[in-house]
Amino acid sequence: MGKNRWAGGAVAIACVLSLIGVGPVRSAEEWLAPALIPLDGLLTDLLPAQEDREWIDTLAEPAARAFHAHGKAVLGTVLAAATGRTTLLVPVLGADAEKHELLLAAPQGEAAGAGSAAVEPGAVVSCRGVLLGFVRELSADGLRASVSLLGLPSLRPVAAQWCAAPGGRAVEVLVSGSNAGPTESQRHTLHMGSASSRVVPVPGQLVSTRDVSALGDHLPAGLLLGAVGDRGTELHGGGWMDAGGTETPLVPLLDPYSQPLAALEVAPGSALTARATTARLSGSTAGATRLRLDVGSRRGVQRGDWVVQGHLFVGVVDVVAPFSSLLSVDVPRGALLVMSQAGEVVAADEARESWPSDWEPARGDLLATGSVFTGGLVAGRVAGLDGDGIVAQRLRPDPRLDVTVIGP
Amino acid sequence: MIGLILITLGLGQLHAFSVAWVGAWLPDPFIVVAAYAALFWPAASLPFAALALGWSRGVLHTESAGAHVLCVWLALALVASQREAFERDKPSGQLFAALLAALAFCGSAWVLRASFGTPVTAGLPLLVGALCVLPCAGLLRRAGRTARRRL
Repeated sequence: MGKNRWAGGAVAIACVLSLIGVGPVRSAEEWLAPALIPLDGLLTDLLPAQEDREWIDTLAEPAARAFHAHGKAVLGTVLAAATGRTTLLVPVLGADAEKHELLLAAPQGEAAGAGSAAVEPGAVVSCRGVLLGFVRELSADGLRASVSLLGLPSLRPVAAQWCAAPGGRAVEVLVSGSNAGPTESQRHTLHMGSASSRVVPVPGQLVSTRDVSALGDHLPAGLLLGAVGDRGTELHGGGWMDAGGTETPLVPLLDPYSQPLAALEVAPGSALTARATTARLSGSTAGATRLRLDVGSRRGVQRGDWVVQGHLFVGVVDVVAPFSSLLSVDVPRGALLVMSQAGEVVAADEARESWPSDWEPARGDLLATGSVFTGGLVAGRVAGLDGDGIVAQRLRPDPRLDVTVIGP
Repeated sequence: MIGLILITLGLGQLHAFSVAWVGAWLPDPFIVVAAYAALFWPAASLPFAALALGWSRGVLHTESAGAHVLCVWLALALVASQREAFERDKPSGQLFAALLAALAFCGSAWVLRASFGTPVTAGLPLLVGALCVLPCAGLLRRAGRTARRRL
């Protein structure tokens, strides 16, 4: 009886750990999945055919166009690389908010014909023409790059400028990071100082990098850093407190943690290498938001890998066990593209908060997504709108056909 | 326990397959196995029966196994505590036990979803599934006798 009580307690603790989603426990749960295989193979082949195939084939080309346009926008209109280098679209693999870092997939080794490493520490990382940070170090195998984001006090200062009107005289400044206070909102903030003029910028003024190559700094010019923040309360009788001599805060233009893609400064000719595995979806298990694959870590599947079926987005691997894995069917944050019937592409999540102002999708718009390794993929269509945002009609994969698991 | 796991997985797979052809309203036979465990499984090792049933159901529905184990555990404990009040060998007693287990499972699933946000599949198919006890009454009675002899 005593033994049973202890075992009951252990079961209860394991349940709570599973409930709060502790990774190793979720992975251990999947150890029972191989018991499904004998019956699954038989039943899956007898499932009814999916009727979405025709739609997927029709929408594949627009989805590819949508992702191509999105990729071009992420690369930006300003070349975010020093002379002799170029930019490459790479996926963001993870983030560490505590260290204020991003983890990017990186091309490996030396670029063909370039005679230099594909990625070097200090390489520029940008998104949509906005400077995000610099490569801090590469992993031992060279396939991952850790990126220190702007705002870290230890990061190098950036030579910048702002200009009140096009063609006007630019005010030169230095932008650096700081931890102004103990609260979360005061950590990793950007400030500009050492201005060449006492002219005070208006709130909202954009600040961008400037060319200081004569001083040996080859940071490309024209990359946006942020907008001048509010200078505080208005004084009695009108006017603002003189900000001259103090550091002016900058408001970031992008949330670096919600970007699934970034532009990385690399040697010309560099390319990412992909890892691909074919697999089958389990047809005899039911899940509204998750599907099961019959391959796991033994076949090299990793968390975050994308699963596709032809031109259809199926999901992203979420839980990996040795012989099976679970994938979430939700499109990753920041990776959903809404394409209107006129061909306009907007990167917006299903939730209303992520939508640009004065924009609303229409019923029937294409929901596309994509990654560097898969290209553009069909995710579904806008079935309607509700108070929360988009009501999506997702196109479903056919469990009788193979899927491909793709990752860096 | 291994028998419980295999029966739950097999029935669950056949149910998921049938749902693809027929529709989501199809009765879920899981509650029959749960009613059997609640009525005939030794009370001291009921947590292990809950573990076997809940883990299998969690794997089938690709949801948190821990959440399913907790729901099953509560349902089994509730029915088992009233075990002597049911006429275990009669179809009517087994039906009431299955209905009570289904209600307890659905209620605890709702509480877990509301408090933790963890999805646990439960609802009408499970409640209607309790009716599956009626054609299986003889089988449950015989399996119950075997369980009482062996466990």
